[in-house]
Amino acid sequence: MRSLDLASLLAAGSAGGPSCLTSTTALEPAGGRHTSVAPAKFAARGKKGGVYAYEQRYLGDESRYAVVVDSKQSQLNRAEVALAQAVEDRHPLLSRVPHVRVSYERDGAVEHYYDLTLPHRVFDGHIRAGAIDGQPTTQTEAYRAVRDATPANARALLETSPVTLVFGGWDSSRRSRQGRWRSALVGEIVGFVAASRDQAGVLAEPTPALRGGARVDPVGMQINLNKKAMTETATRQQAELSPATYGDIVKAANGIKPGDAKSASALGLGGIPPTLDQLAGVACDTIIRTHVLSFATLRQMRFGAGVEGDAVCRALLAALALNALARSDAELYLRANCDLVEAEMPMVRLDQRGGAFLDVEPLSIDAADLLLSEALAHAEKAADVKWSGLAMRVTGNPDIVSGAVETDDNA
Amino acid sequence: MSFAIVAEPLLGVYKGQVGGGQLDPLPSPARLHAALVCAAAQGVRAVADGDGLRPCDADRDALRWLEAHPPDGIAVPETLPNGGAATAYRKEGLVVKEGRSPLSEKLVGKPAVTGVAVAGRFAWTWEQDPPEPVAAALGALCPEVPYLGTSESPVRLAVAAADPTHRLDRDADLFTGEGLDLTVATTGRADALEAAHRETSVAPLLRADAHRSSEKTTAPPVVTAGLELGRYARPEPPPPPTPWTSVLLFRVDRPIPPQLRVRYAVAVHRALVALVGDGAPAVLTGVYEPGVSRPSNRCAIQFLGPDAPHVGGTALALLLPREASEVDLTLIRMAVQRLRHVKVAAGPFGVKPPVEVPADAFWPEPAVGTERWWQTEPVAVPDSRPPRGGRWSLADAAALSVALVWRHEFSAPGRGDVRYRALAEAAAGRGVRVESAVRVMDRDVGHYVHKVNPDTVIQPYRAVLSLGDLTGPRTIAAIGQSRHLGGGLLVPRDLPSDIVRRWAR
Repeated sequence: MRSLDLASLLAAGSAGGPSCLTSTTALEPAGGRHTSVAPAKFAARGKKGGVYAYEQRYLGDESRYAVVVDSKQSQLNRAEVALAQAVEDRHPLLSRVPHVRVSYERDGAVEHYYDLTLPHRVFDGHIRAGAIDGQPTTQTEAYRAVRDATPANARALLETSPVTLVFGGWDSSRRSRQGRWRSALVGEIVGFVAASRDQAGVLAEPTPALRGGARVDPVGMQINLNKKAMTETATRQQAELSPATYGDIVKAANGIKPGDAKSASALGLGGIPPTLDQLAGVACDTIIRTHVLSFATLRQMRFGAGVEGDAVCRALLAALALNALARSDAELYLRANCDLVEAEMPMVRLDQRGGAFLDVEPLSIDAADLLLSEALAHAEKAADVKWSGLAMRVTGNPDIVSGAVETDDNA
Repeated sequence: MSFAIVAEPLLGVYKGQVGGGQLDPLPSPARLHAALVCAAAQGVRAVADGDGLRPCDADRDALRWLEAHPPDGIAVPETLPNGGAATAYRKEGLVVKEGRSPLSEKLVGKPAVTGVAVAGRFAWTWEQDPPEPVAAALGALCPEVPYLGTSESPVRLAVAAADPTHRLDRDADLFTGEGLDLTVATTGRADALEAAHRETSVAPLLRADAHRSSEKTTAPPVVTAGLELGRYARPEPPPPPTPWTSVLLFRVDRPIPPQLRVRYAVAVHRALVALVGDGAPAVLTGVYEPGVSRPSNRCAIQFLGPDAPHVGGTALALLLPREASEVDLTLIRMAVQRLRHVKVAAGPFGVKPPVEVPADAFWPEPAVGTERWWQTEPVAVPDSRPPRGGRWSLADAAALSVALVWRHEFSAPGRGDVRYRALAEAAAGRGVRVESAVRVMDRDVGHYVHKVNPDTVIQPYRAVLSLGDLTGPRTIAAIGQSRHLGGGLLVPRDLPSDIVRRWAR
């Protein structure tokens, strides 16, 4: 089987090249096919508690219900985090990928955030609200060039935040000339569940199994505290509690009358009787991870380097996307109770147009690094691309960090 | 197979929105056009235009051709709509001044699952190939389209051949009838999209770019110019083969009274058998060798009133059955050319040389605003006695007679009474409806049947019925025991559509 090389990416970056590359992998639970997996949990509209996202899909010609094990957004986040981690680890090659850093100072400590992981990449509010060398970011020439980049010439983005070109970004608050960059890479993991049908043959939506939850306190299943003890215990633990939880406990304590006592379960004391209300895992007979890298998307970008030079730049972006994919695919830990393994070799196909396909070897991290280094060296030479790591240092707006509160991310 | 643009959803899902965020069940021709405009305007084929890009001339011509030639058809694969309560909350990358905090990140909840699952490919088809330069431009442009709908539904787009499942109905009334009403790009659509893009591509002033403490999304403009609705309807399935393929129609020189039609038909039958002579085929004589399986229908002889179509007067019709061999039909066609006079006790009559008319194009089209139903003329006679084992009405007898004429359309199990009931039920399953069936009181049943079995009670009746999807509105046919000799002819009875709809309720 042919391996994916720079020549393939250069062809994909040129007119008449492949539309896309698809990577499909059959996965199974690490514990074996008999074990269940914990899919991504979502908020339930209009009610409390989490739910799984089930959707109807076709597996071959058969209509089935599938559960979203990992969404497109989550898969892209994992690819971005893999790149960010390599940059944090000072990987010699990936450290050269241009990126934007936002720094906040909170309680005397400095925190860094990158366009690699901020939701809207280089157009994220944290970057736009900050300052570069004391000047508001949006008023600097360098950032204006990034915002003004268009498909006719995206060089400023290529040399400031190439991840925005690969994973997408939308300058949605700008009044005009909004940067709208679609993600060239998409992917997901879905698990197909047993098909249950009614008498008319219509698919029945699966009902998630529930598992029991309980807490045993060996000191006592019911621990009641008076107002003073409740307030003092909560205050001692305040640093470990969210402001909302702490506030609720103190409010409850204030309502305890003298001589009375109330349950201290909110402070983690006492037991909780068993209830059957927590989402259990889902048994899937087929779990499939799919990624699509769209060369057609990359071909809708130019970089002021001429026909061949632009193709070289697109090949560099494709190599970066594949590098992120190789790194994220190598880590199959998604969340607790959702350890997966590859059931077979990933099937990677390059569309050759006209109904023809070329199967290529899946990329290992080493092979992806080699491909990216070749693509970068070629881009430096043929398109005068400059990738030298940190491209923009942004000082975060202190008004934002002072107002930030911890929130639960349900997605 | 027609010239087509085919889209294969790569994740097996199509995700798109229309109007106020409703689920788009399928990509419309206008969405395809917009995707091609986008690919042409900023893909590798685009050409420089100031500091921006525009479609090359070849692509512009192709886009304009699409505007002038909306797809004649579309192929819609099997789809399954998705939705549900699962909600994903995501930070939108905006900073807002809301809630308790002075500044915070905007968190928005959106459905975690949207779109429709797709089994197969969508296609937009054209019956005529486009001019070669247009076809070449589309062939090169299609692979430059990465997505249809949202970026979460990547597609592989290509020029190929495909069969449509729905065809454009250019005369459709969008307020009545059924079909898919889809937006279609018309003249000026690409220009309008390009103009809107140019307008929003001007960089704002430096001051206008300043970050604000509370941000809102500025939605892109919705361009509605150059759009219209097109009705794509699933074509009616072709009617099943007619029981009789064609009709030899002779103009008759005088009216034939309805109560004498059976007798006159018997006389015509004898005359035709005599004209063919020795070796007259069984499909004409009705006499079969023992053990030979009998076809559903034989040659049928019917009389039509003074307004018979095609000849404009009283007519004698010889209906040629589908199940006859070419040799037999040739023999009959040759013989009937010599038919000039028919002798009959009630008074002989003369006929003109015949014209041959296809059986499925015999009657005129139904009048506008009406639906074609049928009336037995003059009467029909049940094919069997009432079967045992339950209620049996004249309407059931009529449904059974219809099923026996179109016998090849049904596979009824069992024998005898069980089979008769199954056939009547199967006919109802194909839309056969008998709205009225009235028994005709006449002591002389010889008016309506040629041979009478002494054990059989003859119950001639008049009925108004629908033939469902068994045949087209212009087909000539006859039902019942006397259908081959002057009885049970089905003549059009066009009923106002609103009355028929009321019956359906």
